[in-house]
Formats: sequence, structure tokens, C-alpha cells
Amino acid sequence: MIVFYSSQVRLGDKEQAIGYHKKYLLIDLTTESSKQVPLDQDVLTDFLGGIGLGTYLLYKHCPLGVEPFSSENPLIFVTSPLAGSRMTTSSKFAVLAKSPLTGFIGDSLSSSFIATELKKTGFDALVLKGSSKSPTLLSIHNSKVEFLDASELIGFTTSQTESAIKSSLGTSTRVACIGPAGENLVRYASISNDGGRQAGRCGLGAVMGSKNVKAIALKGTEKMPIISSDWLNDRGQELTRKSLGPATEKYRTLGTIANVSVFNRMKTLPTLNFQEASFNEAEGITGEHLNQSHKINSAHCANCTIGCEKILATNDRNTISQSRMEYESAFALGPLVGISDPNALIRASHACNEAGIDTISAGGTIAWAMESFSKNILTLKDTDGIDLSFGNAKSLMNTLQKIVNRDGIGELLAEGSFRASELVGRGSNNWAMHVKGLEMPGYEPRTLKTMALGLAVSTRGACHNRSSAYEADFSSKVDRFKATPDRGKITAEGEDHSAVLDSLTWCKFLRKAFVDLYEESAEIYQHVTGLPMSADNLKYAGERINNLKKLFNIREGWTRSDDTLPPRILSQEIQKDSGTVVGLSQVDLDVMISAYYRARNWASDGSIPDVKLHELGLIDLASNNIPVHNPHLSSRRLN
Amino acid sequence: MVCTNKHGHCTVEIIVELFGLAKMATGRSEISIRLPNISSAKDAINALGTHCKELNGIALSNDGSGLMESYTMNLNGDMFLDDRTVTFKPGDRILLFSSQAGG
Repeated sequence: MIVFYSSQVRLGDKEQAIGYHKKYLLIDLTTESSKQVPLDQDVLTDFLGGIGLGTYLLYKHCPLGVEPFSSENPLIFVTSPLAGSRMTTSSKFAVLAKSPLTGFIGDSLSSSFIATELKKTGFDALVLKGSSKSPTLLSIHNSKVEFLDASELIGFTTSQTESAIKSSLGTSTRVACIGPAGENLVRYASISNDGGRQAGRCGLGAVMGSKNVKAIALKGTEKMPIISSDWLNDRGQELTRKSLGPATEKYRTLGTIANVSVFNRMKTLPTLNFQEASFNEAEGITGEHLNQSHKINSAHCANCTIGCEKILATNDRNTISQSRMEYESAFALGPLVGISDPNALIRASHACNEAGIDTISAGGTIAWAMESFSKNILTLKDTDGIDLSFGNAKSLMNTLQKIVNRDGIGELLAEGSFRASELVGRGSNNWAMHVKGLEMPGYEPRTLKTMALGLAVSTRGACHNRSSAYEADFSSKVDRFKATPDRGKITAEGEDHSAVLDSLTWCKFLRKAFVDLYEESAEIYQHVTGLPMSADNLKYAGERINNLKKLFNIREGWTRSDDTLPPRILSQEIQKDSGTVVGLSQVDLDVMISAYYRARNWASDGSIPDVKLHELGLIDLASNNIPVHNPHLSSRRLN
Repeated sequence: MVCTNKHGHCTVEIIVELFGLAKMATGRSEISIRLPNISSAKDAINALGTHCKELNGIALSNDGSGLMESYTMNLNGDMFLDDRTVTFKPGDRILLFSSQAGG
């Protein structure tokens, strides 16, 4: 491995590193046993923490070709080196497993006190293997692990579950749990934590459900040495000041739902299952309207000074409902399914959070069903009499409930849009809007070409967050309507940048807080962990992490044909205000994908050459990397 | 388009559409400004600062002479405005919104 370490930070007598415990807890649910496993320093500096360390642990613990709902699929929770450092936005934890939606790497992040509580138990990560025989509450108090009966919690919503556990084990207990959707193995079930925050994407709540783990209760009392570094205190205060600067204004004031009106105007708000890129009835669900008429509070994630969360409440005559509202939820349960009523949107979001399902995949799958209904592919007979017309709020709520319980039409839709379309057939895969099985987020690829590439090549499927490729499209750096080869380098660099953010961890909304992310983060990392790190090494870590994610997918049967976009995106055009149309051809997408592979120094088929694996120190991990056919994306399995 | 002479020096009326806090703070969804037809984003910002002082300190700098780094301007949904000079047409619309698109 190439090493670029700068000189190690010298810590004074009172300055002790708190970044790592250098061990993780390996829990066997089948035998109800656990053991502590040391983590080498090289692993920590190579993969950092969060998503990066989680990817390493997944690669190490996930058997090749394992069925995602098999007890052998590990479920991994990882804290981060900066969690507990009091650096703003750093309290995030990662969850990973082989995704039941994609059959590839499933990784999700959540900002939460779980990150700091896990650290206070004395471990950098938890790896859950095997499965419990009966519903279990996994209680972890420092290194003491108890497998408690959770039968009475079955059927509880996420808030009911968290509340019941806190009543039983103490209010200071931190809880990560699943709702009924996870229990019923809805393939896009989330893991709820810390009062309703969600590790939402990739169906990791379903993996938790498959292990019969209803909840994990964390309580840590291990003393974390307090850093008394003046430098760190000053740096922390400086970041806090910057977190309140103009670049975060949108997040602090209107929140991410501010995107709705802008995206609508820019023709990049996916509407009616991506048939349109703007929504004529968007006014009621814009950030401006929701903040003026429905906001009751703003909230902060753990250890965050930005406070982007907006808590909304219904204001009609029906029972009051409240929900955090993010852009992605507003898009997926709003324009994507034709909903313009803000009260319906808030209720649908609340229902998803309580049941523990990812709002993006829920909206994406229901949008597929609505379009199928409009084309008479699904009829009232198939939908249990539910009128699945776009914009029908009552039907949206009824369908969500059926999905959560796998009842009637819900049995089909709980499988996600990809599998549902394979099961139904009749050409409905043409409007199943997913990449690798993961439903699309609210960024229209035909009018955001860098994002189009980011979505196509993302290892976890259709994801905007693992590359942040939209940033280029929303700038004068590129023409967002044109597909050009320069997007390859932009996307690869964005992915590496994001991998570092997701592994240290920093929030992506900490905008403009760093002049040079790598340089400044490396310095902070050294002070927090006491381990050597340079800007170059940090950048390498980002690249290494993305390559290991890809290596995992290759091992699980990935081929270049998996890096693509839904047929609709590649065959139907969007009309711009000027009357001209814009689309994205397969040829144009291929040009960008090839450029991306070149930027990564991968082969033209997307495989990783040995020389690259050597360079990144991954060759040993890759040595038994025999690709397998990916049965989880096979239609044969669905017949 | 209004031209002061046959050699040029034309001015055009442009609509600036406001989004987010800029819209909420001003209570207006759009503002009309008049610009020389060959102008830059800087010219548009100056005109905006003159016509709508409520934007100063929100989307524009306190003295209205520059754009806050948290904001960006886009012409007709087609191109982001930077330092380059643009030839405006009657009916053109400038969109003023947050430069941070993440969500």
C-alpha cells in the first residue's frame, strides 16, 4: 500500500485520543453469544469508520452469494471516529448488510445519538450474525449482551417500540428498532432510531426483521477520555460558526423541502412516476407553503448545530398528525404519486415512519402500481378494490397499510417496484423506476445529466447521496442538459468525497465549512484519533472505500449491464418550457459510464484491474473474489 | 425591448422569480427589472438590489451589490449565470434560489 502519512500529532498528557476503541462486538444471535474482536490500526486508517469501516466488515463477514434474508447475512452497525468529539454534525452511524432490494451492498446512514451511545459501550461496531429463534430485544450495556424476549413488542409501531423499551430499560437508553414493516420483511423496511430518525434505504430493517431482532437497546457507561486539546476546541467552535453561515441558510430556514418549488421550476421534480418533470399542483407542498402553514418546530440531529429538520403538522379537521418532512419524502409521497394535499403528504410520511418503511421506495413502488392501474395492468380486482389512481390520497394511505402488513396487493408491493414488475410482467418493467432494484430519488436524470451518471453507477442502486453528482448540475460548471464525458471524473470525485464524509462522519449539509475537506479533516482526524493521517491518504481512503463497495458487488454478480437507468429514462423525453425536448439516450449514458470507468482506472467492462487493487491495498481482500450469479435480481426466482 | 438609438443601448424587461427565503422575506414571487439587453449577472444583481431592498442581507449582500454565496441565478431554467455577459431577450426570466440543491 502506498503511504502518505504526515507526522503524527503529538498529544499532551491530558490529551487522549477517543476516536476508536479498536474493537467491535461480534454477536451470534443463533447461539446467543458474543465476542470482542480487535480491529487493526491499518484497517481503521484505511476505512475510517461509518460507511467505510462498515463496508470492510461486510466484505469480511458476508458469505459469498448469501441470500439477504438468510441468517448468514450480517447486519452491521458502525459508529465513526469523530462521533463524540463534539464536532458539529459528526454523530452519525452506518448500517450495512447485503440488501434484500438489490442483492448488492446495502448501506444506510442515520444521524443519531446511537452513534455516540455505541461508542460509549466501548466498541466501534456491532456485527450481528445468525438469527434469533423468537422475537428478540438485543440489549447491549457496555460489553454485556442480553437477548431479551420481545414478543410483546411485535406489532408495535416504531415510536411505540422505542417508548416501551425506554420505559423498561431507562430513558437514557438509545434504541434502534423496526416497525411492523420490518417484522413482515417488507423489502424496503427501515431501521428507526432516536425518536423517529430513519436509516431508510436498502431495506436494512427487513434484514433486521429476518433475524427476529425487533430492537437494539444501547447503554454505554464506558468512560470516554475527554479531549482537552485547545486546538480541537477552537476548531470545533470554528466549524460551529461556519455551520451557521450563509451556505447552510436553506437547511436552517426552510429545510430540504425548499427543493420542491425550485426543482419544479427547473423541470427536475419527478412527477407521476417520472412521466413528467414538473407538477402543476405543487404549490401546496412547496417548502415555502409548508413552512408557513404547517411547520410547528425545527429539530436538530444529535450534536448538530444546523437543524435542518422541519416538523410539520396537519391542519385539517381530521385527527392531527405530525411528521418530520424532508424533500425526498415530500417528492416520493407527493408529486411522484400525484398528491398535492399537504395534509395527505404529512399523514403518509408519518405512516411510513411509524411502520418503518423508506418513503422513497414506498412512493416509488406505489407510483409504479398507480401507473400500472392507469394502464389497466392492475385492476380493482388486483388492488382489493382500491382505486389506485394518481392523486388519490385515501388510496395512498390504504395501500401503505397493506404494504406494511403484506395484505392483499400489499404482498406484491412489499417486494419493491423491480420485483413487482417482474411478477406482473406485461411490460410493466418499463415504468419500474429503480436502479439495481432500489427506487429512484427525486432528481430527474434527463434534466440532470451528471446525476444521471451518479444514479446509474452507484453501488447501492439509485442513490443521490453517495455521489452528490447533482451539485455540478446545479452550477455553471456543466450544461445539465448535455451528457458529456467530463461527468465521469466529476462523479468519481464526488463519490470519493462523499465516502470520506460518510465514514468520518460529517453531514453533507455542512456546506462551505471546509476550504479543503481532505486537508482539514485529516488534521482533525489526527487530533481526535491520535493516528496518522494526511490529506492524500484521506482521499485515497475515499477511493478505496468506493472500490471495495464495487468489489463486493462484483463478487455478488455485478456486471456492466447493472449500471444503467430505467427504460423510461432512456426512451422518453421531457418537454422544457421552451417547447424543446430533452432526453437521455443509451449511447449518451454509455459514453458517460465509460468515462467514469476510465476516471476510476477500471477496465472497460467496469471490473477493477489488479494493479488498481494493489494500489489501494485491496488485493488480498479481492483474492477470493469469484463473481456469482446474482439470484436476487433473477426473474427465475420470482416465478 | 426599448432602444434609445438605432445602434443599440436597448433595455429589456426581465422577470426575476424568487424562491425560498427570498420569496418569503419579500412576500413576492417575482420582481420586474429593466436591464441593458447585453448585461451580466452583476448588472442584474445591481438592478435587483435597487428595485427590491428587502433582498439585501438575504439573497443579496447587505448593500445589494453582490449575490450571497448561498444563492444562485439561472436564466429561464436553462443556464446558470456566472461572470459572463448575456444577451437578454424580452420575456426572459431569471430564477433566484438557493445554491445548495441537496436534500
